[in-house]
Amino acid sequence: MSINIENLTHVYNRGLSYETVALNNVSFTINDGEFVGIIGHTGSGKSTLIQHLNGILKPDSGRVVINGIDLGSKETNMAEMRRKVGLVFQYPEYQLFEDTVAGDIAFGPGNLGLSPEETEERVRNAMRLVSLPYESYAERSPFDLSGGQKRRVAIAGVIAMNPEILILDEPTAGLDPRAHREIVNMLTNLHKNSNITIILVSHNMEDMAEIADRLIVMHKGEIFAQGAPEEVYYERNRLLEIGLDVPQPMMFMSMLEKRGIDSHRSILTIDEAADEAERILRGKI
Amino acid sequence: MENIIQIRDVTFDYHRNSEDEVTIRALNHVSLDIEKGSFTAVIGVNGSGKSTLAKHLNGLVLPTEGEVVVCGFNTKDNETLWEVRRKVGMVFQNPDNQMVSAVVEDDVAFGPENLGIPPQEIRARVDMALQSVGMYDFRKKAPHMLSGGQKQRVAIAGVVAMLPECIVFDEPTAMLDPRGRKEVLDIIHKLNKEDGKTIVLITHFMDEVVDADKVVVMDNGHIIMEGKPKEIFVRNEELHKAGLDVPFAAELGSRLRKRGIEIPDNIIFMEELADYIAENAGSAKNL
Repeated sequence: MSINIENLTHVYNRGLSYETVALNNVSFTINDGEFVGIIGHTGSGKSTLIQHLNGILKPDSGRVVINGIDLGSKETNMAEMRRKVGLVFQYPEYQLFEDTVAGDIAFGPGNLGLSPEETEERVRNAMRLVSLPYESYAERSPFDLSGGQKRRVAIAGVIAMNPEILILDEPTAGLDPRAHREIVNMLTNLHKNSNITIILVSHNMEDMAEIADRLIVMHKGEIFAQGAPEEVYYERNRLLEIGLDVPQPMMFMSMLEKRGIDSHRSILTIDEAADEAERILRGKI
Repeated sequence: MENIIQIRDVTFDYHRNSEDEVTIRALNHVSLDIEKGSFTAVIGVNGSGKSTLAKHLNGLVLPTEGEVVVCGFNTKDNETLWEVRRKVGMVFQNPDNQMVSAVVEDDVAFGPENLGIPPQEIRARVDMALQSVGMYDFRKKAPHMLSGGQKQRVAIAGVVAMLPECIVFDEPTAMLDPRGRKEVLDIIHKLNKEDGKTIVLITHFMDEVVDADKVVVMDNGHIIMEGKPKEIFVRNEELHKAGLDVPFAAELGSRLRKRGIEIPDNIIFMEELADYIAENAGSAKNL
């Protein structure tokens, strides 16, 4: 499903002394099946933006159009749109409540009035997509799982609604390195094995460099930069100026540059950094 | 050097719930000394025992076996437990769970007030504590109007106002954005370097660990490694096995060594590795 944001503006506490313009005339397009990363500081407008994508918030002006359907139009079936746009909030595992993993994931589809067979099919499929084998995990209590596994159960619950757009807000926050890796791999596989459009909000620049097709950088309610990760991070000084990080391999290349080593600039992963360091050390410049 | 905290052969067992007969061993014969004025970082995956260890340091949790001695006081001794709690302060992950008042300075005063300290002295301590975390200008604000990093700094001020000798931080940056993380880390280092506080930092972020005096690695209730960051991060395969990462420069160095290029294995800072590569450009030494 594609998303068109046209001149979107959102103001909190309009008319009050602490009025805040959270989004200021923002426009962009996300294509069907794309994996888009959104980065920016707390307060940059990221959360306000994603809450517009399934109609939790309404624009003060501008339009949010999903697959040609304007979310602001009175004729739009919002229940239907919310089913198509799945939103995974921060720390989603706090929302787990059922006795079994399968029961928790089945809760959403069960409420859609699907048959038990259809619901089970949805649960199996969702568990496959988050790499939790049905046979081993379906009957376990979600509360006995590790942090990363719990979080994947919560994400599976959203996937089981068959969304065409999946939005995740900081899905790796607070996880240890192992659980963090599980989530990143899960997202990579989900992108590969489904045609869901994925929007990831994260502060982790290394993850973004690794998995996003395109990045949107938000700053003070506006789009500060957008493009492929190598294009966005290429302008690392601009990002550093507004206090954002760049991926560590990129940071490292900039340290080499300061030492007079002119290096290939679009180095995003540690493997690319190793190639580049090897090339420099072996003198093949 | 004097040890401010001694952990001697501590084992901690607990029951998952009241009906459950089976005990779970969170700490398994752990011994560790914390030197006065030092900066100790504790790493390990979730469930490795880090937080349980932290809660032993000021008697929030008492050992099933073994003992913890803080400034000469055994945490099992009920009579001196308050003394222990005053010496060792704790800062937790979520600042929202640590706020008790509607005004920043009242929140910071909460601890000293409970110690029965005279009002003028409390005033002085609150001002000192807020200044030491760079939040003095926010003293009249409401905590909910602050950013995550600012809230966490207020929580730290609340502990500083108790004048502890040691502060234990249990994943203090896990819920913060990069700017908030940096603010909080800068404060932690300042408390150590300028104010001489003993610091114990539990974290999942390996780049928060490279500046520590000592790194303790926990796995499955055991301490599996203990040493200076440079000694720990060369052992990257063992760390990966324990589910942990190593800092970027250590990882890159190890990958280059695997390609047959000599890189000194004590390099853990990016700046050091950049220096080494710049100095040796075009003259790679093969292993």
